Amino acid sequence: MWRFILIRFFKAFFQLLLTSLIAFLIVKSAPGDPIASLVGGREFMTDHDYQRVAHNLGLDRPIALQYGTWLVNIFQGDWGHSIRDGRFVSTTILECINATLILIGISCFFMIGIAVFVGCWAGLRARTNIDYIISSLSLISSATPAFWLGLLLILLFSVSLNWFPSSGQLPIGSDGALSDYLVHLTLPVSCIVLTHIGPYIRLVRGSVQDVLTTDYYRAAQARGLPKLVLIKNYILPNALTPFTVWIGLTFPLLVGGTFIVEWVFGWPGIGRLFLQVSMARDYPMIMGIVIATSVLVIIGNLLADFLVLWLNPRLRRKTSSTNDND
Amino acid sequence: MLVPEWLHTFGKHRLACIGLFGLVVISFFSIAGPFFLDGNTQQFNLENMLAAPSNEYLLGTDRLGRDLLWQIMSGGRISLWVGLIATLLATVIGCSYGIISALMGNWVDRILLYILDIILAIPMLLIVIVVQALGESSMIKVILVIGLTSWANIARLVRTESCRLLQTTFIQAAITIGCTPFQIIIRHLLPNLLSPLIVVVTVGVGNAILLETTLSFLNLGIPSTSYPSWGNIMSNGMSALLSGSWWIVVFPGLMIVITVLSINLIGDGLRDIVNPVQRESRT
Repeated sequence: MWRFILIRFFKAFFQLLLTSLIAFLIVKSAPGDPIASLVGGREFMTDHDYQRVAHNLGLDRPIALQYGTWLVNIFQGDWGHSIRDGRFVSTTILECINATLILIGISCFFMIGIAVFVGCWAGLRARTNIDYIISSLSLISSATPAFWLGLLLILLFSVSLNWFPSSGQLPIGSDGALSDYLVHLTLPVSCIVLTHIGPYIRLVRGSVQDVLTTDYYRAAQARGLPKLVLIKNYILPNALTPFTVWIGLTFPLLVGGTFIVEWVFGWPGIGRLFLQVSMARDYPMIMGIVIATSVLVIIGNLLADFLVLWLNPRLRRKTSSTNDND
Repeated sequence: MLVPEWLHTFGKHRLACIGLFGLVVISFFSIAGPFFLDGNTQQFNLENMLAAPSNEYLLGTDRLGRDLLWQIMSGGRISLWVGLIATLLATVIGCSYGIISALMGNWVDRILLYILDIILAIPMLLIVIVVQALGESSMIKVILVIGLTSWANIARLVRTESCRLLQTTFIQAAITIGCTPFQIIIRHLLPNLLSPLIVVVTVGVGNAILLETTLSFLNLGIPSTSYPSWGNIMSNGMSALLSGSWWIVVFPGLMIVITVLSINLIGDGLRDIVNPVQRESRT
């Protein structure tokens, strides 16, 4: 058990390292000369000035060394300054990350709840009309682009019906009342949940059906246990393990989807910030957000893994071999 | 006979047939459609800016007065091609990675699998957005970026399947009689990998189309100055959305949903052919 947890943390660390390396290399290979762009063009600098600035910024050193220095700085909490407004990257990210966490957290909560409930329902009523309706809807859900559904929701509920605001987190001049938050959260959360829930429902439905055919379930049924006990003690625990694994695996997709939804709804989170700074080519901010998001994803993955461990007693015993099975 | 049998299974899968029908219609609509339309409708026509759907313009016009129907048709061509070629690229990379991992075995396999696990946990959308935001975008670049970031799932499947196949008697026999690794890959591994592969590849095309349209919508994909794509049509229509011109955003999106849905339905049908055991429990 402890060995598994240790290995898992080790892996998380490498994950972070590799992501940071990819981000570093992409930004390094981007067209344009960072030194020249500081003063507005290469022609405004003498060769001597150019080399001096390059030396001061450490840009004349080998690329591996540059990466190392940058990485050490990241671990020490020095994430650099934004090119756009000169503020600390870490400060800006910390300001924005709360909004994103709220959005992802609430979406996850609803998504898991609805997927488990609806998936069980469809699985228990397999090959009935309700099952067909749920399955079709979940298929349509996974074929719908998040940004498009977001636009439709804005069109319907903000422009036509005027029920919910189309963008932002709080109205101007608001004192931060809970109802203001909730009204602004409704559309983005619905958008995330509706476009990501499809595969989860299908997965729960499938695992519920698998449990229904097992001998131990039939034995329990034959003993005449009440339906609720059957669902709570026999179906759910077995259906939840693959579900949790799947949530962990698809968490990066969910984070990516959230970014797009933030952009569409003008939600002041890290995703909107990321798209803004990407388009403005604010390199320190881009790299900072990539690292911050990776940390977020890795924490999500770790949580899912440990949850699986807690949900499934069989894994707890043979944990050291879980790494190798597929 | 193998072919009639799987065709029969596919034919019995009603949803998959619907999907195939949808995809054929959309492909025909996108590839042949523009030829049936009056050539003038693609010209700028400032008298008909943002015209609502009518008899003259079935799906309305955009803010430059171009016929939306024509744009959606040619946009479909681009979106389908990008999805297809990007997924083919991903398949080639994924297959090579998976087969190398399985054939080498031992510590190479362990390390490659480890790297694969890590890659699967990276939020690729961020990387794609960064790459697209830095530097000029073009269709080739979009295809390359999507292909290079979506092969990990395929590699994982190919590696698992190859490992299983390498244990089978016929491949062990092939190794024993002295077949070269090349022969084993071409004559024994690839033909047997084809059926599980085709399912992930089908679903991959759908995902690639979704990714392309998302990028184009963010103005980070196919540049709207080069070709229309379903994503950049919507991106252009964004500004007109709040003034009530809903058709520019609604119709291309519907096309995306129908296309990806059709592809996913076909994928489901193929999965049932490939994996008959699952068909019993999961319709």
